[in-house]
Amino acid sequence: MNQPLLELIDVTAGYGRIPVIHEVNLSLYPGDIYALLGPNGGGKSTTLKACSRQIELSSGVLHLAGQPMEGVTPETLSRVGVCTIPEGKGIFPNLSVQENLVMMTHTGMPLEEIEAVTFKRFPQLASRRKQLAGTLSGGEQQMLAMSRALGTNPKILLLDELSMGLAPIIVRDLYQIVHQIAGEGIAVLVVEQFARTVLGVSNKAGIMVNGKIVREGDPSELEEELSAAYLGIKGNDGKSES
Amino acid sequence: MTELVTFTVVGLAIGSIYSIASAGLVVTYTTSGIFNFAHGAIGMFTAFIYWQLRWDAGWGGQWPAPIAMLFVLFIVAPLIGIFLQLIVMRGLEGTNETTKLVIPIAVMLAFIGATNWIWQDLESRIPEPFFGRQSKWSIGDAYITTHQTIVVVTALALALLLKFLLTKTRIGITMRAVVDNRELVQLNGGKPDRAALLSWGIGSMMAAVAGILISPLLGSLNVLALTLLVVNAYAAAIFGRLKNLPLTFAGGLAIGLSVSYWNWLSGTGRKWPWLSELRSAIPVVILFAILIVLPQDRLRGSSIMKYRESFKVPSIKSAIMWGMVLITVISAFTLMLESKWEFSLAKGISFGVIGLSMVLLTGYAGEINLAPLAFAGIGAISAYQFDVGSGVETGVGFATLAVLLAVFFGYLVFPAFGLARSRLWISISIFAFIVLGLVTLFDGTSGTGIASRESMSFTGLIVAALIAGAVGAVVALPALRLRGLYLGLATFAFAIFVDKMVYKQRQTLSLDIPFVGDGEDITFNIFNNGALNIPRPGFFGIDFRQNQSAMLILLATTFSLIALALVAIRRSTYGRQLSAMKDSPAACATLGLNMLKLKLSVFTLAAAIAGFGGALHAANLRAIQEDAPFTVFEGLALFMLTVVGGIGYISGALIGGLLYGTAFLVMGDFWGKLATDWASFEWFFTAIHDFFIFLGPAMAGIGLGRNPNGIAAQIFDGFRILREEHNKVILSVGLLASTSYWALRIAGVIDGWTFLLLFTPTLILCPLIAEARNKDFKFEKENQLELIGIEQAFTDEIVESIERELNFPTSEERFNKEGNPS
Repeated sequence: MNQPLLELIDVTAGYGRIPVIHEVNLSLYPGDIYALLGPNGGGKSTTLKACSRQIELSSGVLHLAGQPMEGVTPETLSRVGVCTIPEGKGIFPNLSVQENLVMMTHTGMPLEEIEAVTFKRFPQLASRRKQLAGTLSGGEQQMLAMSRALGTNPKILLLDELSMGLAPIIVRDLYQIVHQIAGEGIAVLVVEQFARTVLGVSNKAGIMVNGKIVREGDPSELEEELSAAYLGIKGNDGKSES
Repeated sequence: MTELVTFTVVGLAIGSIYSIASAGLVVTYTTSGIFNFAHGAIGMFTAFIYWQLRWDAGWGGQWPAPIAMLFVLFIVAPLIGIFLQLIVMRGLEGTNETTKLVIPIAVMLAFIGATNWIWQDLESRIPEPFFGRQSKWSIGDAYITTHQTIVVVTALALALLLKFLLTKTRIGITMRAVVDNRELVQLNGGKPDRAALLSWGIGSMMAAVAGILISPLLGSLNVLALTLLVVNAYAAAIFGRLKNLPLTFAGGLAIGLSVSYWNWLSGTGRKWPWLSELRSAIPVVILFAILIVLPQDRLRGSSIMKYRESFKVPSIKSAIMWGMVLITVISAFTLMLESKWEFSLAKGISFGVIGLSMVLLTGYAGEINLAPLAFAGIGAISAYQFDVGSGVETGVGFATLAVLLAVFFGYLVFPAFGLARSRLWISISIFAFIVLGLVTLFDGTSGTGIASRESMSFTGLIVAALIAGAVGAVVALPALRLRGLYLGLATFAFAIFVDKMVYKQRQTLSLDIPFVGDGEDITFNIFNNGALNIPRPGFFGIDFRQNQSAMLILLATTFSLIALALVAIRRSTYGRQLSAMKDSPAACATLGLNMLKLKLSVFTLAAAIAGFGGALHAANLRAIQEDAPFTVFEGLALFMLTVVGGIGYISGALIGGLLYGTAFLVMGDFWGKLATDWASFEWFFTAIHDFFIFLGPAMAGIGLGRNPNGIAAQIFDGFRILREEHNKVILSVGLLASTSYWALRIAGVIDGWTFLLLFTPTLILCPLIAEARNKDFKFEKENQLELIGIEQAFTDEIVESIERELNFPTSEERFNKEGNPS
């Protein structure tokens, strides 16, 4: 438990010449659900993309299980067990449900196993095998996306805006699943704007403002400071008040 | 019954080949989002290679069919596809739509050029069908050749194989997934690049199959005919909406059958002489029709591109100044150039005039038109018919035509420019046209009225612009809802249509105006025997017929005037609307802008400019043929080179025109001359000469077509440096050197080649030296406005420099204005 599964050390990254996150440090231990919160444009999604290597780091290192990851591509990461579910729906809308599951086999898991896990967990997807994923309801699409996290046995799960555009009851169900996944010893990083939903299940949280993690700690402590961060009120600037 | 079976079988065979070709197109499009214009050319190229291996008596030659087939299909074709993807197409992700069209067009021209280069001698190459011409079997009285059978069976087999690959195998599913979301494929652990390679390999294999199967049906191998035949498959691909393979196959078969049945009905075109060429135009007619009927995408704002275009708009003042500079430079050149060179230069500038129509339409308004030269050709023909070709018996005949045209413009075209409110415009335009008709009639030289002049009249040029504009409006009308690739394809279809139905039209059109005259009032011989002798202009008391210098100056002046008009348009409300439409049609729609009117008017205007330029171009050449200079492929090349030049800039049109009309020919000439001067290195210089002649434009397109701002922007940046204070020395030395070369040339001390060898390096070196020196001075990077203020705070100086860049009045000027109210 003393070895973090995923660690960002002094990472600066961004798009083109313009850095978005500055010297971010972040560690994820097995079984953690780390909720990264903060206002729009704070750099949450960028941090997540730095973890999945969808963007290059301009400085700093990414460690996976203590190993530095340099020059790796997103596809390599996903094969060694980093499962990223990007913002929006992490599915292929013009492929059928079945074909979406086939795409998950790139990670090395056999199709039978993925299917078994998925259809056990989400029985309603079984009856829609042949349907185009784009025609599923929003909740079903997110379930299909989540089945990648369930079926492919990742070590690390990166979730970007899971709740976007979904009914609260579905969001609650999805986070129940996340909770359960974490219970199996998987490290989870969740980026969310709707802080209340995720703080309930997470065991660690960070607030990100202007590309920096300004506050890190126990979710219950952070809850009060959140509104200050969202409204842009300065004052506690990352230092604890007590 | 026998005939029905025979024609059905022929149609099915051709249709199967279209199906195969279009399926390949769909595979590459769905996996890469790039419409592979080069598809037809790949089929053509591989058909030539197959012929070389299978049938040629000389090199290669006489391989057994299965081995040659396997070699071409499984080695040559996949290699071409993979090479294309690795070298050219991979970089196109995230570029804008024009670039995505231009690069494949450049590749297509490269294949055409390469084929012409490799197989340049004019022997006839006749591929035999499989198992020979005699191998056939019969149904009743009808015969079916073995080749036809093989074609249909191959198509069926390939259809099933593709279906299996794309839906049942993981790599096939990955290929489709890449289109949906490339990044997500990576997050799933898939390798998008590998999928793309496979799809380009399969795509070019399908093209090769189609090319090899179709070539025996054509008789002798012909580069352009073969390329265009596979182009017919585009209609089938669009029928399947570029993604649905079963529909695509059905579309291919339908096109094949309709061509075949039309041949049956019309007795291979003999029954209705007017429509005799329709059989080769049917696929593009279908393409146009499908494009128009097909439901369109919703309006979108443009997404953010990796490479952004940023065209600066010149001020009226600088447009006037540069126009005068152009006229002066060209006039100075006329003093020293031989007539042959003046002719090539004039060719380049007149292509530049046609290119201006693309600057307006594509550069300003963002509408893609792949048929610029079709409109130019129509203009040239109109001017010819007006001044020379038509026989008019009564003046009333022509006046009636003029009124019809006037009504068309008055009710349809002018209102599109926002002139609908007042009836006045309609009356004025009708009146103007009647006057124009009458004036030209009595202006004529002989009793027959306007026809058979020996020179092109100014009215003739105006008529060219009007008729080309009217045709532009007619084409634009159905195509108004199309955008981007689909609009490009629709105009491409129109260009092929003009190729087939106008340039190959040998019929005489006679109009009998009722109640007037005695029978045939007006007769047009539309495209007489495949060539029209266009007269040089003769107006304003100047005879341009024998005077190449005058022609050159006329063209430069025309270019400058139209360019000035375009700048004025760009800076007007109308121009801002065009630019807004280009940026975001969705935003325009929400603002209540009537985009239909806008598109219709800009299409009309652009077509009119192209028609005007086309008439002048034809007059400069003195003759046009059915296969030059206004064909669809030449139109594509000009479009591509204008994009290379910088389609948003006036100077981009000039650069594109000069590249196409002048530069590559001069370069070719240069190396050709070296080849004759140094006989021992002849092979080397000849190779370079051939490279420029056959592949020059295509290579320029592939190499430079990716920069949406074109080389015009780079040249501007280069010369802007020269105008800075501390570079005045270099500028004056450069100017001094140039004028002295010029003076030496006039005095006859140096010859033309030496002038070119001295002048070109000076032109290139001056900005380079200035730039190298500039590094020491270390100036604010003014050309990247969007980056200013990110790393440092705004200061007054920076604000001022931004204002200067954007052509706003600086705060100082504003202060002066406001400060002195009295």
